[in-house]
Amino acid sequence: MAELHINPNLRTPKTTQKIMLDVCIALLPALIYATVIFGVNALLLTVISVITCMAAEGIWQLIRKEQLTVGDLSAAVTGILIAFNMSSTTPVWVVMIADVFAIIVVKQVFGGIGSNVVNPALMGRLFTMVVYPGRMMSYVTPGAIDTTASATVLSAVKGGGEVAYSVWDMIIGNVPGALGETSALLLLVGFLYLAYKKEVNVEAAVVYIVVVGVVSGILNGNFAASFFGGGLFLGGLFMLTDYVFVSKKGKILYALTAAVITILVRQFSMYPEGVCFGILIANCLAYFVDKIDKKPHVYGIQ
Amino acid sequence: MKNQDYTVFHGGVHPTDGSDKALSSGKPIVEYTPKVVEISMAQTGPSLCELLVKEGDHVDRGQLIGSPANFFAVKLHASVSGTVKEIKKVQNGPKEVPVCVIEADEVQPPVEDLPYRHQIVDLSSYTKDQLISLMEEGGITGMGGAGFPSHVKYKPNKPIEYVLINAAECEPYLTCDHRMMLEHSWEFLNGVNAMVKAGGAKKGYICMEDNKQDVADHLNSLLAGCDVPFEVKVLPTKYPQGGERQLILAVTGREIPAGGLPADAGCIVSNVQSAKAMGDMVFAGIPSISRCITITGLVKDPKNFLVPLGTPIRELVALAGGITEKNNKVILGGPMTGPCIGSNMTGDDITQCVTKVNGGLLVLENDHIVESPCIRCGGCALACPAGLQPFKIDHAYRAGNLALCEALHATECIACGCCSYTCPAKRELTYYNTKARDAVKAMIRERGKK
Repeated sequence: MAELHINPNLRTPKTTQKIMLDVCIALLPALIYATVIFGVNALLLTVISVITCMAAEGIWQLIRKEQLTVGDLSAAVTGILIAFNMSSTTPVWVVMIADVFAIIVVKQVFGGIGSNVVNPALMGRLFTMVVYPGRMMSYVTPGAIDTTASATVLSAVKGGGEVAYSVWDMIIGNVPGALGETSALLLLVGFLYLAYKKEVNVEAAVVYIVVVGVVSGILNGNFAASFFGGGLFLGGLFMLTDYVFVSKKGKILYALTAAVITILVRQFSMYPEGVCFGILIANCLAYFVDKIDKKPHVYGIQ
Repeated sequence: MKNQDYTVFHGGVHPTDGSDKALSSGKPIVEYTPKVVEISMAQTGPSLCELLVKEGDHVDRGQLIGSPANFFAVKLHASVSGTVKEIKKVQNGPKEVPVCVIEADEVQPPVEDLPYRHQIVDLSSYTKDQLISLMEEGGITGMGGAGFPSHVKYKPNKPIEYVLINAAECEPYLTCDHRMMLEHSWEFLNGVNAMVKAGGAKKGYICMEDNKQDVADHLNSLLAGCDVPFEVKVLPTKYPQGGERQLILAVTGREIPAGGLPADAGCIVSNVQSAKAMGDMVFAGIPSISRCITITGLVKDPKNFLVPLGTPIRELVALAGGITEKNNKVILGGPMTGPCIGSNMTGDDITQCVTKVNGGLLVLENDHIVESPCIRCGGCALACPAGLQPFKIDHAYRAGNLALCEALHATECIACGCCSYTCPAKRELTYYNTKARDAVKAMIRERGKK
């Protein structure tokens, strides 16, 4: 760029880094809670996951001589989200494989931040879920002395069994599950912080969570478990909206796409939880949703 | 909530909190005449005048010294009485432009105190055509930035319903129009009256943002009991409220069709200082030879000055106490659309002189912007007052896909700067969108030739 500054000469103080830092801050309450209920291992996994993601991105960019974007903290957000999607007993190396897969294959190969087609964290989780199913599906009950695997609330519901947890336990997250997904309440607190800073898409998140919660509640008869028993809040609040839809309608249409797929997976597949698939498939369909999304009126064009 | 009598345009930004304008909005206009003025024959970018005087000539204030040499130019007059000391050639973009250097006489002729400075003057003895020819004689032009010749603007081939006086002054920091309306109210109001008649409009509106409520109240109190075909319209403060297209939409609810002019929406839009110049020309015979300019930002004492054309801006910076921050960037005009003329300047190294279109000189802290990848937040599309998707046009242009730029209506970019302002990834969206706009327009012209 030339020495003279390019117009406009005023720029918003908001930066990519500040937005990503805010997302990290928003995820902090859930992380602290996870450490409390699942032990220090949860914190350790998250820290290692963040470091692995940032290192993977940095090394890739150094090797490829690309602009170094590790400082924008988007890799850190991916790192936190991947850890949040894992059980606290997942071996460290499985988390690290998910990290490297997410950053290199899902994000950087497609051109890095902003150019990835699907959410790297969810894809990383899916990858390890397929490759190491045994390691991934063992969830522990918070506070349990022995770390025997227990069924998540949603898989209990799907299996037709009794749900041994109160609604309050589900809301605050005192249930088995991935380490960052259990506390709907604390995730919501973080989300409200982002909403206050106008850095998230509130409509899409609300539509997605309400539609999935209500419809699968009607289908399986347990509203509390449908809303709070799985990864619905983590996915809906922090991983759904990665894409640009210019009109409000477009965003809602996209959220509905994700919701329908999530419900179908929950209802008709072997998986109790459909959030991951719902969002990933909606990511892939985003291009088409954008095509049917009515664009804002261009000034002066009939 | 009171009844909303305006249309809200899509997008826009609030780049500042108002403290920027507060730097100079309370400062009365300081009149200043320099010892030497340097009047450029190119008062606006594309315009050019032919110089009519030579070295050694004595000129009177208001004497014609330049005649229009192209479509964008208007008549140019000596802004002081004095002697032509030198004809300089100054590089202006790709071309060399003559600059007339006049040494001002020790004593300048006094300015007569006429009734139009104290009341609304009856216009019934003037016809529309007379007023337009006075416009042409007086070298009245747009004084908001683009500098389109007024006498051309007021002879459209479409019927005009409204004359809008653009008093939005939506660019942050600038307060020259604000002060002009407060302190030269009657000259301004008489000018507005003349412009409404010159346009053959049924109604005129003085349109300002609600950060100038004091001006609106003041003008309304002056106009109380006056029978004039225009009124004050207060609009919300939002950049770019003063963009011609946005202003017309806000006031009339109409849009200028793509590729059209304000006249296609039945409107003419003129700037505050053009209206004031019109008042001076019609009622005192003084052509457009002075203007008010804001010197602000990181200077010791931000001020508004009323100066003759050709006043060296460095003298005004010195009068404003000088630049207080070494690590600076200096902008000619407002921060959103004004060009940066240099960084780390001392003030003495500013070579620019006041032209008809200079609204201000702004000193801001220097910064270093590094582009990073688009994160698809969509902020630019929400901010674009033209309803475009700047990030998509940016991608398409950088990928060399002009056909896609055209499909995305890149031609409708108004270069307001909202997209770049709002981008957290600091992408130079405005720069590439305007490039895309110009390239697509050139492509369309080529197609038309075939």
